[in-house]
Amino acid sequence: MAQINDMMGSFELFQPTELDGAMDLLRRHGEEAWVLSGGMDTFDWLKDRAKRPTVVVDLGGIEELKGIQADNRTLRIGAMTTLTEVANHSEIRSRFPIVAQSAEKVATPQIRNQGTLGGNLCQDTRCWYYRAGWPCYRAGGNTCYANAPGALNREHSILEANRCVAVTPSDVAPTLIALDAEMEIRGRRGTRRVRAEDFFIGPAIDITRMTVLQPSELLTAIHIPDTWAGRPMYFEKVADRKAWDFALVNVASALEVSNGTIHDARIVVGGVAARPLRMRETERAISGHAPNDQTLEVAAQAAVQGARPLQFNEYKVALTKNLVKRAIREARS
Amino acid sequence: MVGLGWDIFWAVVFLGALFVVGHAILAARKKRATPPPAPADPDLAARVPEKVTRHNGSARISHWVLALATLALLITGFVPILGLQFPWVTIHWIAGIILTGYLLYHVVDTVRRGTLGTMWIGREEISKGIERLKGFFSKGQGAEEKPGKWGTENIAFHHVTALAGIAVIATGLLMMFRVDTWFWSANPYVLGISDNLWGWVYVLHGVAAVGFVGLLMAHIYFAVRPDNFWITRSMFKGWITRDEYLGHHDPELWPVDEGTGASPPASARRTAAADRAGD
Repeated sequence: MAQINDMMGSFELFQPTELDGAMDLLRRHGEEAWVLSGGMDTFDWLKDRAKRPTVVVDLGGIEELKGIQADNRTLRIGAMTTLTEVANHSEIRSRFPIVAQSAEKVATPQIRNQGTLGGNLCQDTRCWYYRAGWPCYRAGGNTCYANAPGALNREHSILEANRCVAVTPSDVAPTLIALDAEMEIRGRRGTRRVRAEDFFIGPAIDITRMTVLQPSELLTAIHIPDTWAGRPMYFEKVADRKAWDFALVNVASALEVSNGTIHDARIVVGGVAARPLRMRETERAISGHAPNDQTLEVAAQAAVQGARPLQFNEYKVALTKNLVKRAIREARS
Repeated sequence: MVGLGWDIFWAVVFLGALFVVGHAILAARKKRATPPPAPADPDLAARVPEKVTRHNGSARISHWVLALATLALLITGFVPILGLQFPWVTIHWIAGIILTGYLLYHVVDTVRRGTLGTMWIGREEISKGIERLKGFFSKGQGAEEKPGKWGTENIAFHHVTALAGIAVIATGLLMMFRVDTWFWSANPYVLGISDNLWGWVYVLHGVAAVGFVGLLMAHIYFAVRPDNFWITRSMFKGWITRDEYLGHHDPELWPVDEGTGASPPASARRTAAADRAGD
């Protein structure tokens, strides 16, 4: 169990100013190292002593991880770019408005000023049993305390649960998957790119991690191709509060529509599984059809196919269906 | 307590490798000191067919099913821990069910054929095993006691594997209640087992599983040794040659049918053994 000491355990702090230096530190310290980006999630973990790294690598001084570069074909966002910068960037607002909208929906202005896009994408789940330091599956134990009779699981998963029922907390992740973005990852063997859809992993793949990042790897940038720019798209987040809250469910969509028919689509839902789920069945169900009531109903049913709500989150099934319908019906260029 | 620390996996791999290397060195030294075997008694050889059945078809099939299930279990159990991530849980429990099915088949088949006694380790088997072990470690040729179909070391290996298998199956079946399967939804509380006891279940499962890693290393090592090739071949083709039979086994302890080369029924073997004992 976590000790709420409101005082962090001791660790060695490194503040590299170059990416190579940070990589070197991560290589040297491996699993002992904790990557600090904006620090909006980190200090909860450290103060609660639920995570006890011996080394913290602060990326705040690495300029090459910051900033947004755009050309005709792609938009590159450095992982250390703040959410406020992402939300306010004119190119992002015009070409990929759902990215700006989702960044704008994260927490509060103060948190967005300090929090980074990379941090938002790589943050750990909000399951309170896990965060409180209970020895659950995700923490390396053998039980999911959130999937027990009487457990507080209103915010947990309805799809793809595999022993662990935690959900992805990121608001921006679904929009990046919907836009076929790619994650640029720096590791021991150089730089590789991973599709945003494949960047996030569920408990069936690895119950202790939420992304493909290995201990000595860093998310350095996000590349958004121009494929969906200017096409109808939509983002919506439903949370208990209007601000400073994580999504109960969020949805992002991008559509290719001509002559009143949907030819291609991306529908991604967050908050329903441990990773943002691209709803491929829904995409298939609506392709080649007009976005009428019948199509929307089929799409909604397909989205929750196989859903297995927990004791207190059955509402997420209806919520997901309605959000998926809205993400198709309300998508705007 | 929530489970086994997986560093033990590497300790077992290290010990397994040490055993393999140590045995290979000793076996090579022993081979140099051992003269070629004396030719078999011609009268006895005339009564043995050219090919002697060592493993019948069902034994071979069940062995390879067991091998595949074990490999699948070890790969799905340990490879994700080593860093290669894939959805392993479903494959793991299905392989576990196959292993359980094999165990049940093996027990029923053994009882049906009445061959349970061939796996018995009594005083005689222990003393023979010790003699063989002394012979292996001695510098000279050493007294080479030929076993029946199974040497004491084979029987001991079988029993250790059986023990690990039963432990891993029993704990694995309990652990299946904690994951979604085709038969039920996960319910960690269905059996009313305390968290502490679950910890023991996971630890025992882990101990038996890493034990299997060591056992498999030894098993594969012996299977690929050139001087054991005749045994490995028999697990594919079913038979060994007359020379291999007479060179490695005691025909009195493992009599075979003169016509077909198959082992006679258990009842016949018991009668033969009683005759030898003068009953």
